[in-house]
Amino acid sequence: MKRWIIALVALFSILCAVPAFAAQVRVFVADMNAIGVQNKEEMKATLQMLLSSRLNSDKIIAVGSAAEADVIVTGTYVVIGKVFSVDALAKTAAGKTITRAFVQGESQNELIPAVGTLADKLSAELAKTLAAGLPPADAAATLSPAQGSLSAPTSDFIKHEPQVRKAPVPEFIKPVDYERNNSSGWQSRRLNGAANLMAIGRTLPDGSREIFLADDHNLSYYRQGGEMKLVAKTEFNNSDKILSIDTIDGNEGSLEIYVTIMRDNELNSQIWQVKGDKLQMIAEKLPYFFRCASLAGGPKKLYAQAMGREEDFYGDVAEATRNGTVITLKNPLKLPRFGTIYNFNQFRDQDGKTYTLVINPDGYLIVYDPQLKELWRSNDKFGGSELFFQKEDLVDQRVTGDKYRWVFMNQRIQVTAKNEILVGKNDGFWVLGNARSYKKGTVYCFVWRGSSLEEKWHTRETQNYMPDYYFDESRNELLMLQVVQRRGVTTNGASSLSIKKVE
Amino acid sequence: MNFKKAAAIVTAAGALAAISVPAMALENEFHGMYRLRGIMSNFQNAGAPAFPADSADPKTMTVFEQRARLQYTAKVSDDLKLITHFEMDSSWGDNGGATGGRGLGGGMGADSVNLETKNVYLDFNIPSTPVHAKVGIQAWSDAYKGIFINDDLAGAFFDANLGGLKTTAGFARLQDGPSNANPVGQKTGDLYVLDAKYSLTKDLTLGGSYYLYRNDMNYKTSDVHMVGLNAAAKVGPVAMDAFAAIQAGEVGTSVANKKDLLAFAAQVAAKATVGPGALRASFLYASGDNNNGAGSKNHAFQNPAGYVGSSSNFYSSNLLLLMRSVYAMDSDKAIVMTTNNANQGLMLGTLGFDANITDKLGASVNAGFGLNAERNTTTTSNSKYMGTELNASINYKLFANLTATLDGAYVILGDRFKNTATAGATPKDPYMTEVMLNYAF
Repeated sequence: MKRWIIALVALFSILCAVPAFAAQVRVFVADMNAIGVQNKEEMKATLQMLLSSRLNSDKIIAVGSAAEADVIVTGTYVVIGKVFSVDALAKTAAGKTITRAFVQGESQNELIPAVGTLADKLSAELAKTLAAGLPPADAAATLSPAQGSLSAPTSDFIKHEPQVRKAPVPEFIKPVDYERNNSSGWQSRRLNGAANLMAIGRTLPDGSREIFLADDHNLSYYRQGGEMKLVAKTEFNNSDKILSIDTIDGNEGSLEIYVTIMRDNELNSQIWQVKGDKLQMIAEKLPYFFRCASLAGGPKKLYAQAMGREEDFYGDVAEATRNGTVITLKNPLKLPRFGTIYNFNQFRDQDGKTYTLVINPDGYLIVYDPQLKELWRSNDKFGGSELFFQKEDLVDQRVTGDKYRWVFMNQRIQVTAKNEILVGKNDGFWVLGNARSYKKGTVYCFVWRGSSLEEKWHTRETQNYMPDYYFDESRNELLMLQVVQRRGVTTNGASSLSIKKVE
Repeated sequence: MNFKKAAAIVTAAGALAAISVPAMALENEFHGMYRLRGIMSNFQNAGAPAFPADSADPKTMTVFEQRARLQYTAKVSDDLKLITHFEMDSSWGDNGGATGGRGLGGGMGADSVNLETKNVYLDFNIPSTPVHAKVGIQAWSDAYKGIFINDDLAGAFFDANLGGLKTTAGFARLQDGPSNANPVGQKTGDLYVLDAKYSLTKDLTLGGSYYLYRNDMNYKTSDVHMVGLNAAAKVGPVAMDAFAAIQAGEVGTSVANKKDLLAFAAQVAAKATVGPGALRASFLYASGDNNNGAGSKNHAFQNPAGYVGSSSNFYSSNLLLLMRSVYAMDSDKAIVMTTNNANQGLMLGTLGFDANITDKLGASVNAGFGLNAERNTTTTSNSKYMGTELNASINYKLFANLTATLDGAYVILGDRFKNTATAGATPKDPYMTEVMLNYAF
């Protein structure tokens, strides 16, 4: 028996001997004070965000609240004349000072690099402190891996978080003036027409990006450089309603734009190409819903689904290829309950298993296993679109008073190469039956944790309805389309596009 | 263990299981509509008598009527919901207060008790099966554009989607007499339904049905067996549909006067995109009986009649006066109220065009002619030709959910109605103009 006890003590000693600094130190950048500047609140939030992101490294992880942190950093930004100074103080969670650092500069242009320098200084000092071990009061907070396997970080248990966790506050929630600090974001001017849809094209040699916007009856081709420049616009028949636009590289190396159109209850879709500064139609009267998507973060492919005589979406979603004006379908996908071409995507877990994700008609995000059995569903609602098509429904006309049933489109679900899942969400003041008027939009990023989706971040709410979004993975930028003025009796409304760097 | 103990244990276990069901979030879903019609017509109002008795020299009248419907759905899960549907109808100036009631309350002072319960039913999926059930008072339509029954019924309907095949089986109790106010379950009018629809391809659907309407109110006075086939297809730019149905069995109002039934109906319709809109055409035939049901056999196509007006219609005709209009409310008056058409049957041809002039502005024109399939004792003239309706409408979307419509309709009466009004007069041609607001959500 004694030998067993000795052996256990020896094993425990070995585990305790694992260096504490094997774990990352969790740092929270608290409010920064700003003195002698205009737009104080915006500057505070900006500095907080900048310092947080620049402290992030393989040794330091910036967390979203003091409760989660081992080290709390506070700071002051002072401007006197043109000269500025940023001073930072790092303390343990118990309040014991670890280190101080500062940087100075002579103009606003030097501010962002200066914050980087300050972060480097703090990182170096924190690394030294870690190597020496954190002060005793905080030692327990930095667990060794062995201890960690037995006792999870306190915050995982204390915080009464919903199943879908909130994002760290400073990274995306607080208003940040991206226009003033254009290293982080960009906002277009007012664009004529209340656009419903957006698709991203190629990046041109001059660095500008092709962007396509569509409202009910118009497809517009923009180039986004410093400004959104309208290059071409094509107007469709009044009977045509555009339901989706997607882009994909075509066989001839040119960009193809797939425009799903409903005309008098029938699909009447078209394919367009960019020819110089013009849009040129290359195929029409196609009886398919189209969507280009990267399923499970894989290569972008074109998918199609048909409409039935009675069914809104008929049969399987299948990969589609174009040969001239003919669309050929292959490799049909079996979708789970509620799944249609517009409300699903797939992701893979660490073991390579493929899961399907669907936004159901009530707005809940549902994860299905490879056998298409429901595994998990969100408690919060996602998706939400004001865009709809109508299908003649004479059976219900007597009851509803409406000759048509309304079929609402939904927000796209995008999955990145890292299998991060992006979902749009709109909230509204008035969303009742078929009367929808959304007011605010957000994009959420989730990761699959084996049993549930966990939120990684979400953007702050837009001040307007967000009809569409797209994550440009090649640039790590999130494009959010907003309707800044709705269509009215005398106006076609207006839109704007904001682009945010995802850090 | 005796039976009582076993039953008590089972009941207790059931109760425990019931209260152990985890609390589920309830989704509240609302839909509804409001419609206001301002009608100027010499024909359409909510008054009696029906055409053509009152139409020798009808004066132009103005009628305003409104209808609101509210649908509330309590959705417990994706697989279970309770659907309720309420209605409030009024004609402006009718009755109010205590003198009001169902379909009233538009008189000065309003404040009438006029809330009608239209539908109350459970909609659920039976676990571990592909079967979906709707049980309760619900809207139901046949697979033949409503020419047999399109109304609210109390019944239980079960459907299952098996690949491309959708099958439905159902039962509805239409009447329970003899007084109806005190159902005893002996003298009843029942409907039995078997329906199947198969999508062969995205562009072709085939269906078949068997319906039995058994009117046992006077001990097996009517057994209407109806067998039908229907199809919908898209060929190139043209969407088409067609159906044919045969009725056989016995009909009558008592055991003594019941007759053998052999009747049929058929319809073809097509719709194609033309220019800025869609062109529609249809032709419907429903057989009639030249003996008005008094001969040895009855050949008139049958439609069971409900308590509130006709229970059949052919709304896809898009006619406003010749046929029942889907927009009609209290003033639900048409020259042909059912496809049975007083045992005369019906031949109806329609042609229409719907145009989208702008994003918000639309227009529609329709023409339709109607004839009796047969002349009989109800036909008090020498002609089957009832008349031709011409109508046109302009609608403007004020908002996505609110449409304002201005429409007008005129029927050039045929010789079927010559000298058929009061005192042998020939009725004036019916006409109607209206302004309508339609809000649906």
